[in-house]
Amino acid sequence: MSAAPVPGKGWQPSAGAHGEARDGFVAAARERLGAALVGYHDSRDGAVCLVTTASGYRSAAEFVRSQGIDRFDFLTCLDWPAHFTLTLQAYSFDTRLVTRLSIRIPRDGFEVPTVTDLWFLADWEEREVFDLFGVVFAGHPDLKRILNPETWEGHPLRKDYVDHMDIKRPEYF
Amino acid sequence: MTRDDLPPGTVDTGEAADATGAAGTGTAPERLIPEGEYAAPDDVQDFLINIGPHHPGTHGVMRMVTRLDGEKVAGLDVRIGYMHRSLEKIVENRSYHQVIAFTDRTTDYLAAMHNDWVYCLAAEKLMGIEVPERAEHLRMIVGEINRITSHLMSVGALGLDSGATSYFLWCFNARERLVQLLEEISGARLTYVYLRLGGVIYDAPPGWTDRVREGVRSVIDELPSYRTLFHDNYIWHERSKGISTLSPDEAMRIGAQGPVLRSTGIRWDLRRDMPYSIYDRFDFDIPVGTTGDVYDRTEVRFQEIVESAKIIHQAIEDMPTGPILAKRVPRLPTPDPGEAYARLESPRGEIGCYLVSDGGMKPYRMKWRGASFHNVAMLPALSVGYTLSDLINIVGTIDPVMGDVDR
Amino acid sequence: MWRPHDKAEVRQIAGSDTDGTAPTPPRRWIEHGAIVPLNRPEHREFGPLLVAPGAVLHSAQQMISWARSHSLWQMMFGLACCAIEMMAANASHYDLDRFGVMPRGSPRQSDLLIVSGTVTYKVAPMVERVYYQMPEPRWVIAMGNCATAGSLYYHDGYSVVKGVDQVIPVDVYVSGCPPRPEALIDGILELERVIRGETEGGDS
Repeated sequence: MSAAPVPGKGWQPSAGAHGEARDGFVAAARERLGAALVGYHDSRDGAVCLVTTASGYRSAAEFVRSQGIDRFDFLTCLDWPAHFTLTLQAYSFDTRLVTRLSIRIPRDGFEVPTVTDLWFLADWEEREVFDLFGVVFAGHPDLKRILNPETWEGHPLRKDYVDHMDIKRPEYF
Repeated sequence: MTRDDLPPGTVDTGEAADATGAAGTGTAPERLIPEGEYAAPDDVQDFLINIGPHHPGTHGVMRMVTRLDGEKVAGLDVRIGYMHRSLEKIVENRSYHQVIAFTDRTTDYLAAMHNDWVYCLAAEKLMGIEVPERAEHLRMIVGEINRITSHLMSVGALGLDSGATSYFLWCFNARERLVQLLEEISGARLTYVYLRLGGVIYDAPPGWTDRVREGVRSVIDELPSYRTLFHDNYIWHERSKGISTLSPDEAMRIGAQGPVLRSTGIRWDLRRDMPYSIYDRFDFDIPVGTTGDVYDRTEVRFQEIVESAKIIHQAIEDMPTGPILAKRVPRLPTPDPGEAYARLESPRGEIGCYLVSDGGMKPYRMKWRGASFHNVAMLPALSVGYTLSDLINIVGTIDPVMGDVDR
Repeated sequence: MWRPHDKAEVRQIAGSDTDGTAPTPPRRWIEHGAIVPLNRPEHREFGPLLVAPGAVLHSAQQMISWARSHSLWQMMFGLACCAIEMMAANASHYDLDRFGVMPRGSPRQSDLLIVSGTVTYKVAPMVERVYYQMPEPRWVIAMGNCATAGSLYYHDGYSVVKGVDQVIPVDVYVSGCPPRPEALIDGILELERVIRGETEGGDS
């Protein structure tokens, strides 16, 4: 699955030709993803950010994985007032190219296809996003709460989450 | 048949599928132990043993539901979240400076300097703050001292798990001397809120660098006797060699972090390979193992102590004079809308901090990427096929810190 | 324990006046815990003593409490960062064994539960269960600000119990984030005074 050479014992990653890898990656993304690719930009911390349509998430993730982006960083969600932004970041051992893939999804009623078969670590990360944001991942092998108890109500990291036990903190600023 | 005859490290995920939910991930599962070698007779039923949430072997509050086949672990279900302290929700309601108090307590509290550091790196990227040279050196010195204390704690607790109580006491004795050095500069023993956005808060007190040299030197001088006591001990070899071997390919697939990754032979250390701060100026080695078993993981940690000491000595030699805090860092920073990610090699592996700003006074979102979270996720893949007593050692070599797992 | 048989023997041992002419001073019981005064003239005002000089008089309960207070076997229950300082207190430098505090792996063998760290809603039932698994008498130290009152997680911490005393009764609170090992030792000494009945303790 990986285009990068499979490392063996004593294997060392090649010194990254970061710029070339980035240009090649972006060109391949434009070619392979086509209309699913909404846009891309370089973030201020040096990552290549791909923004795709929600329906193209799975194919974009497969594309990223096929480019040798084998090291999973994180999967998280951002709660904007009108939508969620689901962000996945991974980087390549070989070229050290950091890729951030983000999609916009509606706050409720949308099932995101799972990427657990592409990255092993996405398993728990997807469970965490499900727990804290309530995003449902279709095809996940064991989608249940991971951090909060299974009887927990609500998804705490949503901005509209109401904690009834909370003691309100005075606003200092 | 001895431990050394065991086939090297491929991992059985198929067997653990119903317990772990790890089925269908990546390559086809292969049996760790050949069929028939250790297989239980058909009339023996598997049974479940629950370890945790409170158990001395889990290094915190983690729950492991093991499915046992005789004495062998046939399946493992790791349940976490018992130390979930809602970090990411809290920092959405704090200013950028206030977050530092949370990152060193809530996450990996054994390496609090590194957690503060990665948050500061991310926030400095977000705000475009330049850190003065002297502050970079001080950050590096305290970070490497903290790495030594963390590794001493890790191998010492492993000794405690495997019955070598005196080794634990020795390690804590050495750790205590270094903790006092950190206390001298930061005022705290464990949760130093020492780093600030744009530098550090206190300069080194007079004579501190000399005491650091002496203290680190005294610890390094003691390491051969530690090796004689524990690492070269025949009992420890019997309990560690060939246990939970991990091949480089498998380590890449399951996303091993830090010393667990390096113990398989992959020479990957963010300090050298994706250098942050000023690590690219210093000369140090990256210890690697060969088989990725329990022995190698412990050995990698043990040898990293020496490398950290090298870095400390070089950083003290190089340390310039000058300011320790960047000029013009606002009391209430309001960075432009955007996002930044910083990663760093903590004693447990890569930790990362993803900060998103909407232009306000508080972080709009902070995502913490803990090394222990990912290391614990691969625990079923490491421990299936080994005995229950080995499982405790395997957990110890993963070196999970529950604050980092649950945040 | 030695007990007096009759009055004459007591008087003789106590060395009071035995010729029978002097008026017998009113007999007083010596307070519990006081050391019986020696046989000297200035001590005769105590009157005829009912115990041997030099003996220590205690009630059985106080004696047992005194013994218990110096042999607190501690439950190894590490929750969060305070657990590291608890381990440091147990390890070679601070050496809690000096105070008779020994870490035990099983609640059945423990007298003292040190709640070292943040108690979340998910782990609170386990803390409660460990507490009720310990045989009586049992004592609890809430170590650190988190176990005391939720600390940094008091506001906005949706998953954190605001103090372990909402779950189990607490005898002594130790403040600090995390407390130094010296602070924990001080808390244990305070608990020893609580057990001996010298102070009330910090139960809320």
